[in-house]
Amino acid sequence: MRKVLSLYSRELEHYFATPIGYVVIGSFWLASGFFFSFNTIFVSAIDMVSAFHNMSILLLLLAPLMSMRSFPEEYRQGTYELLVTLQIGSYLMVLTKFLALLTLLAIMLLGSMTSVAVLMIFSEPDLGPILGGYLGITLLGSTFIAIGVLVSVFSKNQIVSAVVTWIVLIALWFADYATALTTSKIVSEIIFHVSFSVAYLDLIRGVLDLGSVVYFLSSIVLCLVASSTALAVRK
Amino acid sequence: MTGTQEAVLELQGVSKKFGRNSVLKSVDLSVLPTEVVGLVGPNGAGKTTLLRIVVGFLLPDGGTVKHASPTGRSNNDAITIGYLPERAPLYDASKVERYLRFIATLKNIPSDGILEQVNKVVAAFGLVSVRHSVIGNLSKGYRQRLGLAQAFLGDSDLLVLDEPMNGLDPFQLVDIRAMILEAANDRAILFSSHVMQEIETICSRSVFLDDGILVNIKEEGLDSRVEVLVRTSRINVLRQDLESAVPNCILEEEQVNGLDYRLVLSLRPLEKPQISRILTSEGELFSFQELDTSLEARLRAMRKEAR
Repeated sequence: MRKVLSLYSRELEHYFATPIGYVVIGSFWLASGFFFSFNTIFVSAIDMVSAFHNMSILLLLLAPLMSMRSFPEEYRQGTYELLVTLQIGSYLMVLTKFLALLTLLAIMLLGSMTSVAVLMIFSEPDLGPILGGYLGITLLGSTFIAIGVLVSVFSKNQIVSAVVTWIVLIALWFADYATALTTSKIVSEIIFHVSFSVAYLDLIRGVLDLGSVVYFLSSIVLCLVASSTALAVRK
Repeated sequence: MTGTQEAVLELQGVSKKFGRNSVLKSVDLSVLPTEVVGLVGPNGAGKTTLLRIVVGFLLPDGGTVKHASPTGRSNNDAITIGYLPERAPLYDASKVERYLRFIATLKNIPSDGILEQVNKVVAAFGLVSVRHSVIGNLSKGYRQRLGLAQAFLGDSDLLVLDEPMNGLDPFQLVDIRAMILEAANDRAILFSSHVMQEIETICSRSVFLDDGILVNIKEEGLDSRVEVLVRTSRINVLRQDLESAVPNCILEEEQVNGLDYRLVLSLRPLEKPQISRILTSEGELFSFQELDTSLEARLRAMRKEAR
């Protein structure tokens, strides 16, 4: 347990000892606040659906920047070699990195809740869908991060790691468009299930669909297990 | 004298390939507790690969790697290894003390013993002035010392050091040499270097790795003449200490100037660490060189033979 804590806090330390953490969190707050005000003032929306839409896009852009350094930096600094020699299991490395990123995500999302406070002061929003939406966006963000961590395992270069993560995320985001290319019912069914957009649309509307929750949770677990397996096999 | 002890590390027929390139070809090596083994070899000979296999970062393709803890040192059968990779493994964004505490925790040093251990290595490696500095801002010499400090944290049974003298200035070399010798009192050390003189000064035994094949260099028990340059204000004490450690070892003694002395000693390989320790504790050791058969000359001859 001491090891988990100290790996986790070292990981967090990195984000806040360098500008990365502040830049990512700050730009998320700034952009999500801007889009929220735009929607409430000009469109007079009193729910958070379009705000969640915008947050999803922002996370799609920012998550790869958060996760890109996870393993490339350990490889470059030679610290990965040290951790392996100190018999730190690969699952422990993957888990603590994921948890640190999750903490970053939590800070980003908690900060954006000022928007909800504004809604509550000036109108009477339906809080159920908003809470459900936050749960959904947390799941979506965590999935982005888990994919980013998995990609970073295979790269020695942070930029490559970020770009490949973007490609994977965008491909999964727009995967449902590919159904236009096939006439087969089964293939398009499969594509629909792999695509983010189908599962995430329900969640950000605050509809807590069990299928979608399972989809995101299993993606996260799959990515984390794949990451630690890939690390273990590398020896 | 160490013949009956169980080896801390034993490699048997270890081989490793990267793609079609065979880096190690059936390497046998054993290291006894308190033995200092130097690993010499040209660049690309596989030194780093061999050390990585020893510490468990790489798995060998063939052969076995056995670790055994010297009795009474550690409560589980896995031995503890202190490791300095080729490049000091440091987190640039972290600070010196935080980093050492982090490594201490990962090494399972109990919480109440961490500060003491950290203080010990900080003092030993001259890191006091940079204790609260950000690692990314340190100079190369400090980075190397910090790398050594993390390897020395905790009482590991075996220290594996890949080019530990890299990036150190001559003054630090004198200190680090003394430190390694002191550590060698109660643990085994395996280290690589391309500076032959380092190997000759510190090691009780050295092995030569060339093209994936390991050769033992020194026959145990063979006398050799060693020329030593030392600065000391207590030459009489030094002389007495040397004679009591190895009787009749001083062949020549000459005062070069002031406090600098040139000594010629007759030593067996296993006596060298002890003698170097005495020399570094009674004065400053500037040079320690074998006269008859310099390691370099022997290595050249061996390479020629192998080709």
